[in-house]
Amino acid sequence: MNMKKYIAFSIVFLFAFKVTYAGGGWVYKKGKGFFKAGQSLIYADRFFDGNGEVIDITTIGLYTSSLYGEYGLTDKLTAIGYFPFFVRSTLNEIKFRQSGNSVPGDEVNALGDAQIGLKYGFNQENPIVFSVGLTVGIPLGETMGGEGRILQTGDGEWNQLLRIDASHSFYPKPFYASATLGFNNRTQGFSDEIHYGFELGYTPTEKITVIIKSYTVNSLYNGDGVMTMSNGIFSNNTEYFSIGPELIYGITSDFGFTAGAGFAFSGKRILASPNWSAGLFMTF
Amino acid sequence: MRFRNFLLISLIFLSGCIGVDYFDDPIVDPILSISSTKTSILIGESFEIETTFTNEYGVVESVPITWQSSNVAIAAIVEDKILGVSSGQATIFANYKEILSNGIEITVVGNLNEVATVEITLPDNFNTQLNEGQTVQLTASSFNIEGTKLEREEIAWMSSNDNIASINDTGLLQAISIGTTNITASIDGVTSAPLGFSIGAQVRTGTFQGVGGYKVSGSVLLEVNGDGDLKVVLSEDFEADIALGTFIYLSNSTSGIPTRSGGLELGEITSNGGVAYTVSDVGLNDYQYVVVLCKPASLTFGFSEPK
Repeated sequence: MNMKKYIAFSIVFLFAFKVTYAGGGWVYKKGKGFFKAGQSLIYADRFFDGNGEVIDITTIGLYTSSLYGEYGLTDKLTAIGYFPFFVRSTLNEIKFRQSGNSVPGDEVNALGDAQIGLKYGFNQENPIVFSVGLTVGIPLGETMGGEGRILQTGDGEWNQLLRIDASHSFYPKPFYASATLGFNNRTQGFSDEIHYGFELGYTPTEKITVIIKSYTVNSLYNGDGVMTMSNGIFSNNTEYFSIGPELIYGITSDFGFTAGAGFAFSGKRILASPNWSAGLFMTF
Repeated sequence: MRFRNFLLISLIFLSGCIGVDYFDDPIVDPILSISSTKTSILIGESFEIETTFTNEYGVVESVPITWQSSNVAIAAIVEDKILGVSSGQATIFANYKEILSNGIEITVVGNLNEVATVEITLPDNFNTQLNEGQTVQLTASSFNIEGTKLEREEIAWMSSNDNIASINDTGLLQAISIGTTNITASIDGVTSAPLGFSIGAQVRTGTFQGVGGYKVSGSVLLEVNGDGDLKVVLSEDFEADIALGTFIYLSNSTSGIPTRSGGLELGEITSNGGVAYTVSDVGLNDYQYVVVLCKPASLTFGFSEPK
């Protein structure tokens, strides 16, 4: 198997899973890079409450169209950018069967919160490669949107995610594994978070890579004692453990598409529905 | 060119419409109510009483009604109409299955000299909310079926609960203890519509508790003021998780969706601390809970059950 292509595929997967989970321990060589246009969708009528119990809620939809890119500034330093240029959040209308009474829904279309970052790779020639990265969240999203000013496409805060990633290729066997550990420093009264995740990739043919991944976010509960208008129920003290598959198909050697899903098996203060994603990518 | 084509292919938005969530209406007690602008008729006269049935979903429904009269020798039911038979008073009820309506007192008279209605009057500057120990002089007047006042001297006063408020032969009401009672006056055997009095502070108090891992604390006071309006007061130390669209509701459920659909929205809260709401046409005990609700998601943050 072509190791270069293999690495590119893994980067695609990692992005699809979690925006900041890019590339694992690998970094791009100078002048090389990766670009992706993606869509993701969450449509949730259930919610993990603060005790982790799943409860019914009014259905919330979140549709994100985004651009993502990585570019090798040097052989060891890679720049990362994520721009959700169109985020649509919807709240379903409620209708009652017997009376016909209804409660109107709501919607907002806006930018989402963007991210920029740098990742530095080391030990890149050894069996286990490492990278450290810092990603900054830029609050471009709407925090009080819709007719009722109750919908959000962003959390309104600058955050900094410091992370370390390690990856290993089992080449010539068509497998790889990655792990990540991160600390997300949040502002505006939000609690800081510990992130960690694992993934296993398998490339049965040159065009296809199948990946299974897990990602966990734990809150440190060191934010403001109570939620406020700006750090509402869907963004503060959020915790989850998710597992999801990803399929990557290379149409040509440098162009292809991805499709995946993330399923939260447990969580707190987060929508309890799958996150579906799809995208087109190219490498250069 | 290749990059541009890539972008064009990529920018296919998945923009969803606003969907619809369907729910059954909240379950409530079915109510059969009857009403009439007419409470007295002449012997031989008949009229229809208006009926309204709201089913267990709170939806008005047309149902077959059966009628009852407390005294068919005075007022009988003929072809769904109330027929005056002889002088006196009778109470009319409606039935649907096991559900009994409120009663309407019908007075049947034979001529213009007979008392058709009796009305109780409060002095100016008094209302039906009294303090313990307070007294108020009531008066009663009688009228014939055309509304002409009839002079009568003998009036029989009655309180439905003498331990709450007593009333003597002259119509002097004495408020005794906290509670409610109905006062009626009878003239020539014709009894007035009951006039309800509330004695003492009509309040309920409760403490908030968070649910589902959310924090809500503090207390709430429900009070009926002098105008009969319900005042809901959150204490100064009230504190809650406040997200976008956090509202205070009166509700008969602590669950989010029934509260949002069947509760009474008092107002949005955007900060912690004391706040008061005043609502009309709501009784002190109409709702069991005060709920802190994240309205967009129909998610209950906490509630209080005032006693």
